[in-house]
Amino acid sequence: MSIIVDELAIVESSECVAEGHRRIRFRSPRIARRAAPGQFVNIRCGGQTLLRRPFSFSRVVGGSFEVLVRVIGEGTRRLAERKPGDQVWALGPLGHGFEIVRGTRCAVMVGGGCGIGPMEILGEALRRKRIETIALFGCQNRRTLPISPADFERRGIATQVAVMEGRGGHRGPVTDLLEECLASGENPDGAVLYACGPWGMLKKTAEIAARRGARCQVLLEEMMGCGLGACMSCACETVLPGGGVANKKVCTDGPMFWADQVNWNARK
Amino acid sequence: MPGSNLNLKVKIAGLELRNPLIVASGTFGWGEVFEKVQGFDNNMLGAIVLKGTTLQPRKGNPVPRLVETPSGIINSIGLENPGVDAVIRDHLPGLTRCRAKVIANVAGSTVEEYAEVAARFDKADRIDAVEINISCPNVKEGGALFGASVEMADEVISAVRERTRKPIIAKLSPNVTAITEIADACVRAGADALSLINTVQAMAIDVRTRRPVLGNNIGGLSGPAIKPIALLKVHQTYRHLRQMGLEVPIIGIGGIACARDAMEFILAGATAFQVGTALFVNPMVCSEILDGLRVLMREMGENDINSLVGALKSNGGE
Repeated sequence: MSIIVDELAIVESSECVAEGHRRIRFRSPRIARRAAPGQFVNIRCGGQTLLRRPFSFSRVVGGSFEVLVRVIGEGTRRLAERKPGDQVWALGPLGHGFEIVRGTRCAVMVGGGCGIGPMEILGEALRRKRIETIALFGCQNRRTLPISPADFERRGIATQVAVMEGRGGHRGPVTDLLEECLASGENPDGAVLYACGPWGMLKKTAEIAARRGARCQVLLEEMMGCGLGACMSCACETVLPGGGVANKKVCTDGPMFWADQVNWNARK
Repeated sequence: MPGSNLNLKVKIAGLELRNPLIVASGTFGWGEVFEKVQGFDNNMLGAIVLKGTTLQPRKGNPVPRLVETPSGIINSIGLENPGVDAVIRDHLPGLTRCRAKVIANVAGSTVEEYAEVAARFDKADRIDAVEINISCPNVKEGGALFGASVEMADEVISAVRERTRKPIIAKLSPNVTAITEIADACVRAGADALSLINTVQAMAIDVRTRRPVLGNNIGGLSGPAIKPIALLKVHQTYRHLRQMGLEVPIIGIGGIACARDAMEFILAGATAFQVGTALFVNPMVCSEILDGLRVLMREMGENDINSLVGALKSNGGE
């Protein structure tokens, strides 16, 4: 693992990008320059919180990194209130992120809800390697979509949106779009899937990938303590090649896991 | 050089620690994790306590294993560890050049298991002492905590004493009626030092799902919330042992996050102290505490940390 730094990150901007979602940019050169797609940063949110909160990198711009924050509790609420100039302690970059496998001809990114966050930094990395990339995003409704498809289209990434309610995309789960995408044969052989989102979405994505013979990487999340691999709070049950199961740590062995290694029956 | 005339060295059961700061079992892995953070150096610590180790590998509890509560965390990891043989084979070599003392933490379901694990660590050169986690449930006594009864605590520590010459530290649970009686029993059975407190039994409930948050339903509370409880237990134990003529060094544990916290425990009777939860919040807390202790000692006009152990003055009463 590369060097991890605890740095005072300075808020550069904070904007509401969707209902209940903010994009926050932090000036943090020592972390930003090492950040890779799928990795995360552990931020002290202050207030009544004790533990840090983990956020995947969404974008890296020069000496700054951006995270997508969905406001759901005390920590994210406090973070969402930060103004430019405010400082927070940030620990990172953490974790084993996405792997861009040599020889990949086509990548399909599947993002659900705030799991769409890491897709920007990943999409950029894939396009830099000139890999044909498709993005499939799912959200509750268009008001909660935390990114703009135009940003992805601009990078040459064909983007589709699925919504559970309302208009503005395919009506249904994003995995419907994935099923269609792989079935239509629009993607050449050797497609690699990259997925991030709620457990149910990842489990369904893994099932589709297995059925279609596509390699698939998933970005998991689990309640964390230290975020560094010491406390063993964030256990994920994985299936070993020779059979049997073993616990891995989402914070260090992951958050990226190959979908066929994860024991999808370990929890509901 | 600032602080060069200050002594932070302390002695625990014949072991000389460069300073009284010890990192707590279960918060530091096998000593290989925090060194990945730029600026962290294991060699600045007084001692490292390794993750709780059992005879056979243990898988641990289902997730979620951790939940935050006001000023604290409840954990129920379930002693996931690869078993004593794998610990000795795979994790001790990485600590060969570590200048901090290395203390193994021993856990078990039966008295025999504790004794056997202690015996194997006895043969491992890198291990300087063994800390015995008596907060485990005794499967032969219906799951009652070893550390909850004088008889069981005595049995475990006596059995371990027979199998190792290395210093034995008994780690006491607060989930008992009278911790001083357990402390007493451990010292009489041969413990060279005591560390207290372990976590406080607790739970959290998810109102939406109407279920306990933790996969294991209940867990142990740690962090700032338990500091006042731990401080009292350390003080009560220190006074009790003095009254009984059974003084052994006490290692204070519970919510320590700054030098002032550590000094409270020292004044209450702790010769050394452990830091655990605070590491998750601030990986650099150890160096901050050590720097802060030096500043505090100068403010207090003391140049030897040992002269402050148990130096609490009485307000009378009680």
